Amino acid sequence: MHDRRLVTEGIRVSRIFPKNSRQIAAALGLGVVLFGGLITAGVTYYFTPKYTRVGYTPYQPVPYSHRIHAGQLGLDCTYCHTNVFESPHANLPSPNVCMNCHDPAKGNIKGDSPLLAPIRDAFKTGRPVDWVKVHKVPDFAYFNHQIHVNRGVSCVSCHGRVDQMVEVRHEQPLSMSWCLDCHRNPEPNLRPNELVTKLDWDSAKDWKVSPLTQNTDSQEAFARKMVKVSALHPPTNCTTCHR
Amino acid sequence: MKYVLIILALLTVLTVGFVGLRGQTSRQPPVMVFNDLVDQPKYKNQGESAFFADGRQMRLPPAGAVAWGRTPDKPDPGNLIDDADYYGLKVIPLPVDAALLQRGQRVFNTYCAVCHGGFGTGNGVATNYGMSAPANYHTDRLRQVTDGYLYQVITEGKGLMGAYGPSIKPPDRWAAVAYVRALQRAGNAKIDDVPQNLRGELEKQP
Repeated sequence: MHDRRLVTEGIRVSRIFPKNSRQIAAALGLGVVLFGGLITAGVTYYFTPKYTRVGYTPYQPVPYSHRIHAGQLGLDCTYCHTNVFESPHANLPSPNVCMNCHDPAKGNIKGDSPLLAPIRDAFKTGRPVDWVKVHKVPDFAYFNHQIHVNRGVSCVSCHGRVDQMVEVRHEQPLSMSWCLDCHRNPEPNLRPNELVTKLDWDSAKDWKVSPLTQNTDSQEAFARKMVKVSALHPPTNCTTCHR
Repeated sequence: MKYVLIILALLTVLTVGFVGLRGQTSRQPPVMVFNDLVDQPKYKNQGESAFFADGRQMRLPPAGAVAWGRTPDKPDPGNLIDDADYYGLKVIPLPVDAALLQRGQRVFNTYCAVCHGGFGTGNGVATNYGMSAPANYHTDRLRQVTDGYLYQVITEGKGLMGAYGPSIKPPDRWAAVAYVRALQRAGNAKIDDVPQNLRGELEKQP
């Protein structure tokens, strides 16, 4: 009696769970783990500014080449971005700066180029050129250019070798963890203030050769001194960047 | 099991195929899902405005505005006194020391050397591209002009030279004037100008 009931129940159970149910469960479990792992990997890889922002190279209304102007001609960054040492915002130049050389009535270097028509129009009408912003931190993060460049963090640390770019390309993620990496250990990114806008200057290679630095010890020693003398301790609390 | 693996592999290939890898050049702005805080509808530096006719979010002071601490006859908010008040000065109104000259060197090499050349002889890099005849500082006329005149030329431009007043702030303009004066002296120097103890190598040269 007792045994019989067990047998009948056993039959019912085996009708619900087929004979290979163990294999199916194993495959299903493995599938979920694999699928979940893949999703996790995808999110980790793609849901970050390293993917979403790096590589952004918008078309600009005027194909201004930093490689020609900053690289080949050797214009200093501040020839156009004049306020970067005195302002939180690194300004784009107004068209009169372009016109110092490209004004058809004055310097007339390529003064009649059709590519420069938006600049000439802006100069005439006062309506600014619609440059497309490439580097952007979220509006709830308040980045301050002047505090960084005046403390010896070069443009190149965040913007890459703009002097080699025909079109400006977003090179660094500008993510919060990326900011914090440097705020926790700023020393590798420090250099003498005079060299901040020298994008081709490489601390590792040029320190012993450059007339400005060859008489000092090394980049590491310089950075340690900077940190000590000017109490350079980049804050890492929230209100540093978020208000 | 085999099918699960094949489906996953396909999914991976499709994803990478459609959205690519990190760091690929993209012409489109970054895709944001929750953009409300990242791109706030507020006026920002050099932003674009749909409201004002000239498209600028940053506004100029209205005509006749007088900055705090100024009088209506000298309303320019940017400078301590109006630029024109400086033009008549014979000498630089700042103490000329090593710091000012170093500042001037940096300003000069940034803004002036492009056309006038690093030594002020009028052979800057822009002349290779068709900029015609920037002034050579080492002439009697420019040695004799006043400091205020050089300041005026920097501020307003002259001939083919554009105005650099918008780019260079007044103290930096004076620093550049000081550096130009230093260049002129160096370009016209006699051996007597060099301190005795530094002459050694110079005197050997013809």
